Amino acid sequence: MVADIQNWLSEIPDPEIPVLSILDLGIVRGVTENASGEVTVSITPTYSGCPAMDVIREQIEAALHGHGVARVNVETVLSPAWTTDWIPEAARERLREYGIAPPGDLVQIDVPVKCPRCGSASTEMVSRYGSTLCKAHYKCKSCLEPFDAFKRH
Amino acid sequence: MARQFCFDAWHVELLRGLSGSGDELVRGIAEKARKEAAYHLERSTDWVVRLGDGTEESHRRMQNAVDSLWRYTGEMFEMDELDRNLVTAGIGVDLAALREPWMARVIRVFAEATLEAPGGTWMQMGGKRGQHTEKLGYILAEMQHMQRTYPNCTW
Repeated sequence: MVADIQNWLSEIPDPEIPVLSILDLGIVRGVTENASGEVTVSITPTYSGCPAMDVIREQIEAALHGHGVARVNVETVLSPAWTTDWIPEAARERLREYGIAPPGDLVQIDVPVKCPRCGSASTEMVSRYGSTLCKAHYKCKSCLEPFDAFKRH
Repeated sequence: MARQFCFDAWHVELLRGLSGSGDELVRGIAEKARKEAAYHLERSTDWVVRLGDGTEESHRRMQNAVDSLWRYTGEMFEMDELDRNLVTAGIGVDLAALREPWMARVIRVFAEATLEAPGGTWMQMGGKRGQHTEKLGYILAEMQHMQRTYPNCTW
C-alpha cells in the first residue's frame, strides 16, 4: 500500500511549477500506515509561509481519498529543514527544459546563473524575487530572454 | 529599509542562537527561518548601501532615517524576566550577547553606505514593558475597529 501511495503522490504536481511533483521537491518526508489502515503522510514546508503548501496538503488528502484511503492524516515536520539540495538531477533537468534555471549554488548577485534557453552565463539578476518568492528574476544578455531562477535554499 | 535592515541584522543573530535551543520545535523553526532571514538581510543590506551611497537626496533620507531610528535599537538587546527564564531553561537566547555581532555588521554596512551611526548611547526603552506612546492608541483603535464593532466577525 505504501508503494502505491508513493506512486499516487508522485502524480501530484507543484501548483506553481507543474513539471515538478511534490516528491521531486522533497516535500514528502514519509508515508506510514497503521494497523487500522490510517495513512499518515509527513510533509515539510519549503519556504515559511509558502502559499502553495495549503494547496499541496489538500491535494494529498484528495488524491488518497480518491484512491479509496478512508483516513488520511497529513502532518508537518520542520526538521531537518527543507533544502533545494533534495531536488534530484532529473528534476533539475525538467526545470531547465521548462525554462526555469534550477537551484545551484547559493544565488548571489555576483555568481553567474546560466540561461536555461541558450546556456549562456552572461546573465544578470533583474530582481531578487520573481514570479514567486522562491524564484529570482533574471535576463539573459546573450539571447535577451527573461527567465526565473529557482533560488538555492 | 533602514528599519528593516536593523531588524534583519538582529534577526539573523537571534535565529543563529535559537538554532541551538533545547526546545525541539523552536530549534526546528529557527533552523528553517535562518536560511530565509539570510536572504532578507541580503536584500535590506543591498538597499541600505544603494540608497546610502546613492544620490544626494537618497543619502540624506537614509541618514535621517538612521538618526531617528537609532534610539529604538537598544531595546532589541534588553532582557526581561521572561527572557532570563527562557535562557535558564535552555530554550532562549542571551539577547545582550547579540549586540556585539549586530553592531559589527551594522557599522560595516553603514561604512559601505557612507552612513554614520549616531553618537550617544541613550536608548528609548519600555516597549517590552508595555509602555508606549499615545500614537499606539490610535493605531490599535484603527486596527481593532472591525472586531470591536462586530465581535468574532470573519470574512
